[in-house]
Amino acid sequence: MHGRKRVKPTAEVEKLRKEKEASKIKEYNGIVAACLEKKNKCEFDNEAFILTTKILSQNPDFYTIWNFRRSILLNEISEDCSEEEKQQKFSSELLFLQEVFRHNPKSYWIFNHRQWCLDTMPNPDWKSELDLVSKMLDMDARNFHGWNYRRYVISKLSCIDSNALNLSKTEFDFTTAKINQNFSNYSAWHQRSKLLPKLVEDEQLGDQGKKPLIDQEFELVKSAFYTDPDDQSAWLYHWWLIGREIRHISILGAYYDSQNYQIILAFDDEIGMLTPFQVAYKNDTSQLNIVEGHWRSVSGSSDVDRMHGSVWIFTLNIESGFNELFVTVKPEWIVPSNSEVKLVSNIQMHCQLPEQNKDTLILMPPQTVAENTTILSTASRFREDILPMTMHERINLLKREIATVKELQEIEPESKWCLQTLLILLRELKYISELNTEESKNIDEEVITICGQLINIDKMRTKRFEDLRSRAIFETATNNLIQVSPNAQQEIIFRDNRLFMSEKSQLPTFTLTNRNLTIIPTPSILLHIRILDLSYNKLTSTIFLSNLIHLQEADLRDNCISSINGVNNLRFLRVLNVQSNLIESWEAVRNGFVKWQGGECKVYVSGNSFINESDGKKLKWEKEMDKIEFCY
Amino acid sequence: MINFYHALAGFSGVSFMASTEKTERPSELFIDLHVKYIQSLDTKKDDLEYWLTEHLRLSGVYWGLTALDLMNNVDALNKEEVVKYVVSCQHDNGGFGGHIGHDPHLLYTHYAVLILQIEDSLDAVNVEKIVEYVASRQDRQTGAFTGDEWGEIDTRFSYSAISCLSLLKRLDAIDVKKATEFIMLCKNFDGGFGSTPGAESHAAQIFCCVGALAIVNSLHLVDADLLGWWLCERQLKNGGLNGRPEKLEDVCYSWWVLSALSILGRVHWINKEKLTDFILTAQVSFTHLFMIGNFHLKALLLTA
Repeated sequence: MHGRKRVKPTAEVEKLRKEKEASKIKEYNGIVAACLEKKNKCEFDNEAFILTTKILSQNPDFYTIWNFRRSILLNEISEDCSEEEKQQKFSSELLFLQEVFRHNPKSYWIFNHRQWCLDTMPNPDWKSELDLVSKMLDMDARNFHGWNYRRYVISKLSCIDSNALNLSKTEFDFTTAKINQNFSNYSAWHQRSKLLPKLVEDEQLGDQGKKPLIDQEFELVKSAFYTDPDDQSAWLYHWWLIGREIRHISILGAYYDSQNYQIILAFDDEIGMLTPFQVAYKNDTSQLNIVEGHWRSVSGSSDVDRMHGSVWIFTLNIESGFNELFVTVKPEWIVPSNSEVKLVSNIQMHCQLPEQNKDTLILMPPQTVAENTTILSTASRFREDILPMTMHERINLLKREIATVKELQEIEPESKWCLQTLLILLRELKYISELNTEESKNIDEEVITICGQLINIDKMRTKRFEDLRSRAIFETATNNLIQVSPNAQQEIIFRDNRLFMSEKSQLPTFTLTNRNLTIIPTPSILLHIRILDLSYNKLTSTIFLSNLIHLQEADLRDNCISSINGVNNLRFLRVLNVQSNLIESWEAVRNGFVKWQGGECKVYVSGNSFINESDGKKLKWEKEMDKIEFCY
Repeated sequence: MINFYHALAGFSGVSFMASTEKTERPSELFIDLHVKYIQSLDTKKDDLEYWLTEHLRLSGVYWGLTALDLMNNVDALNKEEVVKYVVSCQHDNGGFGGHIGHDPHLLYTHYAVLILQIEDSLDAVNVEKIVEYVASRQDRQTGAFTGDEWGEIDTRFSYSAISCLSLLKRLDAIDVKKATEFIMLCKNFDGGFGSTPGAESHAAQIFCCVGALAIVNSLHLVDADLLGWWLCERQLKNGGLNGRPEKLEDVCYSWWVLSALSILGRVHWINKEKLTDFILTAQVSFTHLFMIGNFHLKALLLTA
């Protein structure tokens, strides 16, 4: 019933139609009433059966009648009924279904009933069903009811046929045939993605046997996207073949604030806390004791969410009496932000309190506890469900595929799929190569360029590419703030821990202006920044500021901000510039500061639509805002 | 009672494309006309279609009512009549059928609870019985949900059950962990979800799975970037959205796709202006045959 064009009929035509339908309506309603009456009286006779046939032929979506029909059939076969008779009843039922299906190839209820028949009859002919569904898929290769039904039939056949592997192979070949008929058969590629791992695992191939199979896959996919670079099916399958490595969550840094009796922890992912991280201390007796206290996140993506965030603060309930502090984080205690990132091992942090507190902020370097470490190394195995390979082999694969796609891109410079695929491949390559090398920087530059091209080519999804570009730009710009941890590859930590010290005359500053930034992807990297300049960008939200707990001055002029969020915990904030943004009301500014706990702060607001210049030089402010000075 | 031509329970929507002869593109949502349309739907008794879609009455009430609610016009339908109708669809086992006298099914039970929630009338029914019925639909081995006693399994039913019980604050009645496990079995190579393990990704199923996972706080199991990308690629040149690759656009997909993207925090990945244009153009001002309520929902989501 989709996509039917509606054209307004004339009054004459309407009148005729209604007259014709009037008798049909009467007839239909009569049959339905009679049928439902029999149903309510539990009259499972032949007359009832015929009524259901009449109704369902016209209206196969009337699910209650299918239910009644099944009850009638069950009643018939429960009485004196030979196996032969049962078989006959169901065989004619299947023929009836075929008739109805002809006019309604997409009705859930028809397939349900067919399945029920086959599950109930004495001798279902699965091979014949397979033939039938093959014909269905010849008529409409994208009918997902058909494909679901096919999977059901195959699962039944595999119960009979002890060689399930054979079946997987036959099905795999079926998808090959469908794909060769039409490369753009997403349903076939999808089916293939379910079968390939089975083939790879069932066949006791060993790594040597798997390689030709997988190489063949890459060849098939390559010919598909070379033939039609605009069709997404092959590209998506390609992305799946390449695979995406799970990113490891890192603790960027941890330290103890001896002035405020707080432990501060910064992750590079917005995690959720399932179980509070364990904090312990040692006093002079060298005994490990659990510290009482509570954890909260200061940087969730909403001002009220305390259970998700990148930056966490633990407030101790004891003030003194210890000289060593321990913090443990375990993977099972957290929930990552999405399925592509993971904390892979326990992390421990430790510090010894100095005799005299020279620095109020004491470093607690994160240490990976190598229990069953799966940190990336040259011996790591990738894509183990399809083709396990070493890091070296994977880098070669990625480079080979990048070359293949770039070759196509030269012929089809406007192909967005080539460009999107390159983004994915480059990102995988960057992750797996050494961080902070020259090659990594080049990858970032290339990613930024490609995003720019995509923004021009695909106007529908501009904002997504702007986000991707922002991510690459931000990562490049913050490379000098983080480094690979010395104790484990791919674990990143803050580079210069002296940046924590606020007594230094050189206040840590971060500037990234005029780069069309739409998001700040990993704001916890900016944890120790005191002076921030992100002016002349396209940021729409200030919530990321909540990560920057030491922030003193922020310049967010000329962005696309519509309200102030995330500043409540920024105690040291003295200057906030939000001139020339998209703020439309006082509330949007004021609400951000209602729970603010700082000292004094100047907020520059001119150039926003809510500012009425004729208010006079001094802007009005509410009494409770007596620490905030709003300026032009 | 209320009749809608468009079936949502079966995910087969009727889409009325703007006729190509019409060159005028509306720039606003004709709210009054939509309200009148929804009110008029139960009067189409001289259309055969009205009678052929009786099994969709209850779902139709929901879609109409929720659209009216968004247009601040819930009272356009008589509350007492609505509640009376919903109550009359309930069976002894707690489940609701698609219409009076139609067999109970999880889909319609969910719709019933949604309607009563909107009308603030959950006290009109035996809630405990509903919980019992919904809980009985779960297969405790697999975590999956059957639609009714005849055993069809589909992630649509997982969503219906989870949403329904969440509204009744009775998620304790089912095995949430197992339910989640079953949904995850339906995750595919493209980050999307199908109706059963092995089934192809489809926007409506994705809405159901992502919605269910969101309700039970398990969105972290989703690859938000990959799925968000797949969803935003549903937008076609004319601004409309389709349900899966290489298929035609339809207004109903605007709802499934947009909702899922919203839950994933990536609504801005599609082009809002072009989608709004598409939806508004799909309004046909001269006939009384409009899109179904979900179209209203989507348009209002966007213009909000």
